[in-house]
This record gives sequence, structure tokens and C-alpha cells, in this order.
Amino acid sequence: MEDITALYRDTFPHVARIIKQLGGDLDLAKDLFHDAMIIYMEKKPSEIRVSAKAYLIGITRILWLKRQKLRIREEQLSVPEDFYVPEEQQSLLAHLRAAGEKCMQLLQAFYYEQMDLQEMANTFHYSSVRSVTVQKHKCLEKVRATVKNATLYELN
Amino acid sequence: MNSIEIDQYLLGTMPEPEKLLFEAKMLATPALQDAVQYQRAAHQLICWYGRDLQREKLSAIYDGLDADFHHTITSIFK
Repeated sequence: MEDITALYRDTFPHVARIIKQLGGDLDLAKDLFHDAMIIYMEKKPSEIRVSAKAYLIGITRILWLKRQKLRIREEQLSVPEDFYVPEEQQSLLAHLRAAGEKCMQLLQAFYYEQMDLQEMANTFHYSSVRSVTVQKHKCLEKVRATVKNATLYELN
Repeated sequence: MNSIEIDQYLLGTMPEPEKLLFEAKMLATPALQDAVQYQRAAHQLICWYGRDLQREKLSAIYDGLDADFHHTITSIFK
């Protein structure tokens, strides 16, 4: 996280000046920059051909254009299509957070952060890799059941 | 429906012969097809949740930065 903090400290003032010039405020600058940082952290280093700073500035500009609903010409930099939660899925996500935050934390560590099972067992205080594996599958099945119920409820 | 097997299919870790068999099973079993679809949606929701947690961590980084940094930022939006 130290690298990320240093990158944040170094890059955010540049981004803030750009967003200010475009007419945005501090909250908007932070929101867009945080999203750009997330997109950056999800990439493999080999996928990024410019410096981290240039990449973050480029992505922040693209996110600003998207927010203004301006057309963006095809560029080297891109935002994943599924990056934002669609409106119709927001209540389901909020429900999962409220009803099963522990499970969601465990699942995101594995599927999103790609933590290995040993590290997960340590982080979440499980006695063994086996027990954290069992819990992870129970949690996934719980989330899957919630998705199923939400889908069926929507159809009726 | 076995979430482990479906995960192997969704995450692309299922060997090719098994994958073909699994796809055939899906065609014959609508309930399996549904389970795969729900599990795929679950993965997507977990990813969105992961991003929300990252946003919280980044806000905490911002809050924790030094006075010089905050002074610079405040002066930009003055």
C-alpha cells in the first residue's frame, strides 16, 4: 500500500488541477481519481505502456468525459465496460452488503483481490486452508441464492 | 448445484474435455444453466463490492496524507 500512497500523493494534485480547469470540484476530482486508481490497480503491469502517472491522468480525463456523456474517440486507454454498478443492481448489492458483509469480504478477497487461500485463512482467522475453502463456497452459494431470489422476485 | 464445479467452468480452470461435458450437461439441464447464470452474476456483484472497498481504502489514504499535500489541494480549489 506504500507504493499506492506515494503514487496517490504524487499524482492527485495534477488530476485536481485538470478537474478544476474542467469546472469540477474537489469531491468530483476525488471520485474520478479513485476510480482511475482502481482501474490502474486491476491492470497487470504489462498492460500499461505509459507511466503510472500518465495512465491515471488519462483515465481520469476519460471518466470525466464519460460523466459529461461526451463521445470518446477510441483510445489506447479504456475503462472496463462493467466498471460501474448498473442502477438496477444497486439495491441487490446494498442488500448483500447489509445481510452478509462478512461473506462478501471473504469472497472479494478471493475473487477480486486474488488473495491465496493461506493468506485468507490468516487474514480472516480460520484454522486451516480447508476451513476457509469450505466457508468460501458456502458464502458463494449464499450469494448465488440471493441473486436467484432477486431474479425470480423481479420476474413476478 | 455444485458451486466448485461451476467456478471451475466460469474461471476457465476446467480442463477442455470436462468443459465440453459440462456444456453438454448445461444444455440438458436448465437448472444447471440457471445456476451458472446466477453464479456469474454473483461474481460480478463480488467484483463491484471489491471496488467499493477499494474506494474506501483510497479515501482513507487521502485523509491520512500530510498537511503539505492537503494545503496544495485546498489551494487548487480555492
